[in-house]
Amino acid sequence: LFRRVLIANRGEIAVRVIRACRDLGIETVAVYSEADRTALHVRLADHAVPIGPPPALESYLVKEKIIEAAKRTGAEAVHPGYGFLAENTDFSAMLADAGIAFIGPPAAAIAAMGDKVAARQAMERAKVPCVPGTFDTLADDAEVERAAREVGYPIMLKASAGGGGKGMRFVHRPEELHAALRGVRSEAKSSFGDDRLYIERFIESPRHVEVQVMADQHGHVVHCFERECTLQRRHQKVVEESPSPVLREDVRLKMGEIAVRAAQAVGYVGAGTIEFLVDPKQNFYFLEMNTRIQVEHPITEEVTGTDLVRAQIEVAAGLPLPWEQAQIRQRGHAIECRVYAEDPFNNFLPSPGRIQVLRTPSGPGIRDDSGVYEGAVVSRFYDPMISKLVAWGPDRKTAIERMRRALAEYRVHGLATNLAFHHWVLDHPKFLAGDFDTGFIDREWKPEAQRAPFEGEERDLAIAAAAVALTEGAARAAAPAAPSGSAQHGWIATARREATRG
Amino acid sequence: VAESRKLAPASYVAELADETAPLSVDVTPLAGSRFKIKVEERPIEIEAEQVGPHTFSVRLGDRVVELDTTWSEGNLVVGTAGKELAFRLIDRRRYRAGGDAATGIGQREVKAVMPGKVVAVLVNVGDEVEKGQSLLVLEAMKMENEVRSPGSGVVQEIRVSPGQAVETGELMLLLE
Repeated sequence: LFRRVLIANRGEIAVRVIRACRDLGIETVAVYSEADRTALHVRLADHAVPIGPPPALESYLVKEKIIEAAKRTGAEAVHPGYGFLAENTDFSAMLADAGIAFIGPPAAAIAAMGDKVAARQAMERAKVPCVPGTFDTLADDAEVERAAREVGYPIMLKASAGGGGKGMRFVHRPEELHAALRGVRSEAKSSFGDDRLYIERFIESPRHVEVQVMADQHGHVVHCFERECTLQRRHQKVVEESPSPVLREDVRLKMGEIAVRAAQAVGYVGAGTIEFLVDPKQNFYFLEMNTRIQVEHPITEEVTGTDLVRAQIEVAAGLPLPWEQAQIRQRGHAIECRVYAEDPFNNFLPSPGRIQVLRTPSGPGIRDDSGVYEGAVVSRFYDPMISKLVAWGPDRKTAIERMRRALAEYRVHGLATNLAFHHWVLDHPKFLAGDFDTGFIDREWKPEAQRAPFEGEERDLAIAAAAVALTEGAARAAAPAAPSGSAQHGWIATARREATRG
Repeated sequence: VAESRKLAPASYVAELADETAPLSVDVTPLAGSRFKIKVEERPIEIEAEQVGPHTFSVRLGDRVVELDTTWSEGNLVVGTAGKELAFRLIDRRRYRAGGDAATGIGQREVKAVMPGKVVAVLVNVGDEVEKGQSLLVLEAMKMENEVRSPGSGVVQEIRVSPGQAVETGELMLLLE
């Protein structure tokens, strides 16, 4: 194994990797921007190296700085987490040149799956079912027009370099094609520097189900079954669960086998995810492969009893996979809610700021993968995720009940969070019935109707509690012998200020 | 903390951030941590125990709830699971009809009401400032707090600079 590993990321995933390293007795190196000196991942690491100003383009995305930090600290391997440099082939090539291991797939596999048109070709050759559409790059607008007619409207117009919901448009009718074409081309050009396109037929009322795969350097590939990721808002996942509440057993098994075949087709090593679109008849189609650890990996870990991040590190060091396919079973049910500093009642606007109050839930079946602490600042420079709350239960009903209990225990104040939104999802009859598609949230979330304000006696109680706090604070402020600082709680100090100012 | 403490009754006006009419709030301390409170004409009796820097465990009859109290943009924010109520609570003696919180004695002196560190001075000598305008940012108890002007006037003198530590009661700024 490695003696020391550098984590080229921040937030909860950096914390998750540090924990896996510590389990394995591996020393950790954090890197951090100027905004993150006191971030949790830096506090938990053994070593920490500053890599520049807050914007990710000047720090977490600067390959040279990260490689320099790895050399300086003698790190033998780099874990990229997700996002940032996780799927960057230049970065893994530069690491290879420096003699540092990349905890992820070979550059060739990242490249093969990163180009969506090339990936569709490779998957078709491997007899992996793809969404019907085009399999070659479309040269010009005339060709796009012709191909769209052949595939049949409505269609999805997608950028070959896109993925994860970026660089795509839904086109309902031929008249809309030209505007969509311009939009995708310019978005793809500016985001990826590559404006090649392809077309997929639009699948009506789709569900989004993905399969976790894991491969070692000795040719073994296994899958850890599926995750249901249908609940999305603007193509971003918000609540995931495993197993899928609706997949038939034969479909589940076939999907696992095909995912393994897809990974083998590109010589995959490490943790990866094959995303499928599933239609109402449970036909499923390859959508894309994510060549990294996923945000939602904990639900798979809870259900299969695996440690995917630990396994990533082990296979990167050349060890064989820790499990055979036959040993991997789904036990019980797990749900993940992504807790964000964003305001669900104000168009999910990010709400950066200091977390003044944080109390996290615990108890049977609860896991909170967090990247923050009370007093920490959620920076406006990065993804405003606070944590991933995961509930496990012996069955779906119990997992939901435990998640509701955990959400009720979870307290975050000082900034807005989407906790109330998660309460709403977990109480929704259609969610309980497993009856939803990818458009569910955009259709059903009506913020004004779902806001639950303090009312009646509860409101009086809230006001009363504040009045008591203020009265007590003022009394202590007036007491001549009140010790300054140490014994004073933060709230009281502020109450004194409020009570004594004009 | 509570052994020999004697709290005086207090009266406030609550201005809710959602713009419902102001409410009168009267607090009468009873024995221990118990209080009688009248919100408008609705009396309730509660027991409020502070269990954390921002947190009170409040008992109303046999019902118990945990309420967190924080400050945000001049508002007091009381929160429980998944919801918050934001309002201003103003001492009734300093409150004038029309929603205007009148200024108190010593309005020309801006003093530190807690020990802390000056993070930023937002005004200059000679600036005309309005009541409620931010004058300084003071870091205390690991939180940055804006110190607002107690009334309108002209900044006459600034006695602190960024980075400087201040003690409770220390004069920071003079208004004319």
